[in-house]
Amino acid sequence: MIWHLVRKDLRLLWLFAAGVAAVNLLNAALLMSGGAFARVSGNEAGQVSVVSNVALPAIGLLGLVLLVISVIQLDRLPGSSQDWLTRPIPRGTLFTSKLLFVVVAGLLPIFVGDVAMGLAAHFDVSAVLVASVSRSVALLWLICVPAALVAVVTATLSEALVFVVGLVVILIAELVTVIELKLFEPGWPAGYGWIAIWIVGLVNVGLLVLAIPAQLRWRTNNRLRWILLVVFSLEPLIGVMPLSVTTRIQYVVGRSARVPVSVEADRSRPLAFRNPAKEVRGEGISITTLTVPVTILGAQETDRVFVDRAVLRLVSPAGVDPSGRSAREYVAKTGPGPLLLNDPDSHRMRGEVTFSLPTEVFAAAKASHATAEVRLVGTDFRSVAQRALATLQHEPLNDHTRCYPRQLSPSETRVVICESTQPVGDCGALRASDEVLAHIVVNPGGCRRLDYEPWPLPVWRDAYFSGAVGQFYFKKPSNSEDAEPTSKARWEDSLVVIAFAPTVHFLDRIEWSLDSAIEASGPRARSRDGVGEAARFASPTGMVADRRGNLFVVDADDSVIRKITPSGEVTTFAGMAQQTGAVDGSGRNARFDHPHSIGIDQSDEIFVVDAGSATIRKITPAGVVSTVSVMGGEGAERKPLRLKNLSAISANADGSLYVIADAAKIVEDSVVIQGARTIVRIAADGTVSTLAGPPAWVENEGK
Amino acid sequence: MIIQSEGLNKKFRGHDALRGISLAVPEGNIYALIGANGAGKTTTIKTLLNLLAPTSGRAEVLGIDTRQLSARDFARIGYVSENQELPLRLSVGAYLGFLRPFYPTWDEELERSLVSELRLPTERKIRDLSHGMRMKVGLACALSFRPKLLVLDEPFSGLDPLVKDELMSRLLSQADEMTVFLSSHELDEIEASTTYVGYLENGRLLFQEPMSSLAARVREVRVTLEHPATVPVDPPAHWIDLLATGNVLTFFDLAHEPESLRTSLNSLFSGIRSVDARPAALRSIFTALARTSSSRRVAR
Repeated sequence: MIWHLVRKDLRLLWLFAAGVAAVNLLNAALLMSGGAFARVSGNEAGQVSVVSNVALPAIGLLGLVLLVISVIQLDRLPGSSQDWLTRPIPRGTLFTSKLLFVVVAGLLPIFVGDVAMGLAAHFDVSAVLVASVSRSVALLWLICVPAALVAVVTATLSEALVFVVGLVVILIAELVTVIELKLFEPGWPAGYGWIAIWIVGLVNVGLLVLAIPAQLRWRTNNRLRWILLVVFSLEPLIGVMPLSVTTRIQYVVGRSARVPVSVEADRSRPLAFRNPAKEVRGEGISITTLTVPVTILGAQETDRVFVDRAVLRLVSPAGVDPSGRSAREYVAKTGPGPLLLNDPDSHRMRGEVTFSLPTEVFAAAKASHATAEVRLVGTDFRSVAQRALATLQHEPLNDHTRCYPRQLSPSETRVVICESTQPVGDCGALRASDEVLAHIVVNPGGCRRLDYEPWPLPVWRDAYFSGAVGQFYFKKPSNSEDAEPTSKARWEDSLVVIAFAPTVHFLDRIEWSLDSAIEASGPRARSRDGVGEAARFASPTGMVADRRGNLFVVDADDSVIRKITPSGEVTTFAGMAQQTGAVDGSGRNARFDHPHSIGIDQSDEIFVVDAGSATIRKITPAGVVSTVSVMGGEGAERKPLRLKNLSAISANADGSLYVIADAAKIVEDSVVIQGARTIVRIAADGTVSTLAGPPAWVENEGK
Repeated sequence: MIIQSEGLNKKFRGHDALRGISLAVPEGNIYALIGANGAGKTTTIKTLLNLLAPTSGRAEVLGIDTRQLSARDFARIGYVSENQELPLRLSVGAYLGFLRPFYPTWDEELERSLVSELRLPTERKIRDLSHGMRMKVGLACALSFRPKLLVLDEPFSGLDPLVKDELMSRLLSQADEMTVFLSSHELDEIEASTTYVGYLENGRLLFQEPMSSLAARVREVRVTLEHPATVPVDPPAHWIDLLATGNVLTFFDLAHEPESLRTSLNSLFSGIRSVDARPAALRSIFTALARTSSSRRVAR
């Protein structure tokens, strides 16, 4: 009987259904012929891309919506004159037949197109089926159910269109309001957008379940229309619910329950300002820089937090800003940058954010005992990276894949790059789970990409996709010249997936009283030898212990290495306080330039990363300081090298050292990736090699 | 009773469309629900078929509460309405073919006979048919499954006499095997075949009774006087639609008793030359009732 009803609807709507199917199949055909990777503008392929990535998907989805509305309105619910109401057709059978029609006439062609795309590209059949089914289910869930709801409360297609147009107008007004009021800032943390989608989906299904019997009972659509209009208008706001709410939901659903990263004022360090009386822009404006120490809390899953934006607001007790105008915001002059985990036990990371503001405003603020409100917005990268990594379902890929955070440019969206460290061969398939909000896929080595993004939002840019659950395929065409290994085979043959991390991942505000601000140029702590509490350190940044129980401390700001005996006596072991340089020698005759990290080997020889001179220094137990040579090349080509931005150091039993240094610049698919870090091994004879990570950045000594 | 209701009320935004309707339709009858436009005939039928929910009161059709009517029950109820929304893009044949499987009692032989007698163009789409042809399609669909109850809402409205006759004769050919409940303005067409009648006025059921009873108690009376006639100031309540023209007074006696009529006339008039009391046609009764109702409303 169900098929009998479906056949009747098909008889009435076959032309419409065939048109929608043709559009969707044509779209699949165009994507198969290469439209997916064409740039959106600028060439002939770009025009194809506009058609296949923008126009046809939009027309296809609109057609699907209208098809759903039409088939339901064939046996419409509002009114009391419909023929079907007095026929012996069970309501459940009728509903099932409509659902079946949507699946057969609306979704099946899309499914067929998806499967054809996957199979034509020689992907694994099971992966193709899973991806295609997941997209069809998402379309049913996110497109067909809302369309069915509109059909339930309207009697004709024109009424439905009027309803949809009215809804669109409301949503645009709402969107403008949200943007203007910056309500979207809290948002959902990365990886939890699926909660919003599920809420919206369940609300819509619940509405459908309630609306059909309500409409059958009351035969009127006005009340339901208004209810639906209100619900549809409110649903987008679910995406901008406050962070506190989303945090609570995370716990409720029990998925990756995690304390969100937050920020607090670091009262152990002073709020400092510096007023160099610098005139800017030739306009006679004197600028004061205000340095605010902060501590990031709750970074359980991360070793790096990137502060995207810091906003300073000065508020005087009178409620207005010190300049006498309404409250003003002073945006940080430069991006604060990354804060690294430096207290693993408490998962705290400390850092500073610096603001520039007119000296006049700052002075007035300080005089009026104003409060400095600092608001930070940033991204917890490690957790995003872990989630991105967790989404890679391809087993061989997982074994050789790692993820790390990267920023494409200061103004660009922050991303996490998951990189395969071995050639991918036939490329492969990735399944992006619902843990990652969206994805950017770059296409290295000529791998072709077919995307199955279920979330029906437009493509923002040629490489940017918005999606919640999706399947991404990578396939290297056998005839692609680009696929041939080159001198950059390591990169060009690698698969790179960039998981897009929304910038808003934590958001918090701290307050400082400007009364506590001190002049940064004033007296500061200096190192002083002594016993116990009499001793002073300028800024200790690392320490190691030898076999006798002595501690050796790097006192960075004073450029000295201090020694603490088991009895608590503190002496300067090497270097002279506040005397910087790169001079080898014995004890206090040697000079360091802001040493940073320290390591020790089994014979109690100490190795120090001398950050200012970009060298590694060796100190014997007797206190003799020398510079470790760093060499590259072989034979006649062998020459001294310099590594960049050295940080942590560790000494191995075989006499080799391990340091963390900058990696070389990576140019990948026209994107310059800068600032990657890598692990470098320095052999006992000084030969440099990369232990793990991309090749190290090196330059010849003396450059 | 195949249809029975008690105190059926229906309000539309404060307007009382039905006011305490208590119907009783005996099985095997042709029951005509008559009344002026807006009297509540269509609302009554839609309420009985659960197309509209009553505001209060209850009704039973085929012994089942109308709110509980299921798909299975509709397999025994035929319904034809002038404003029924048929699937216009289906052909007549396709529509009949679509409906066939839903009715266990569908008689294909009867269907062929109906299509033939009513000269239905099975290949043509319903949207291309005239109003009369659409009504014929509706009737063919309703009769083909030999319903136990056939409900007709203004089935003859806007049809030419030929089509009316065709529909009526086809209806009557099966009338002995079902109960017919119809609303109509076409009283001439239905009078001969109607066995029961109910009269609705402003949402109220003023009366319902067998046609034989109605015919027996209602008379159209014509009184000729020897002098110019005038309408009496206080006539008996069962005299309606009184009209004086020259020496003649006409009215309808809704509770005719020859003796009682003669007594009343003698007490009200002198010089009575002749009295003619003849049975009234249903149309005449309806129009008299309607006029009276209208004049009462004006007087109020």
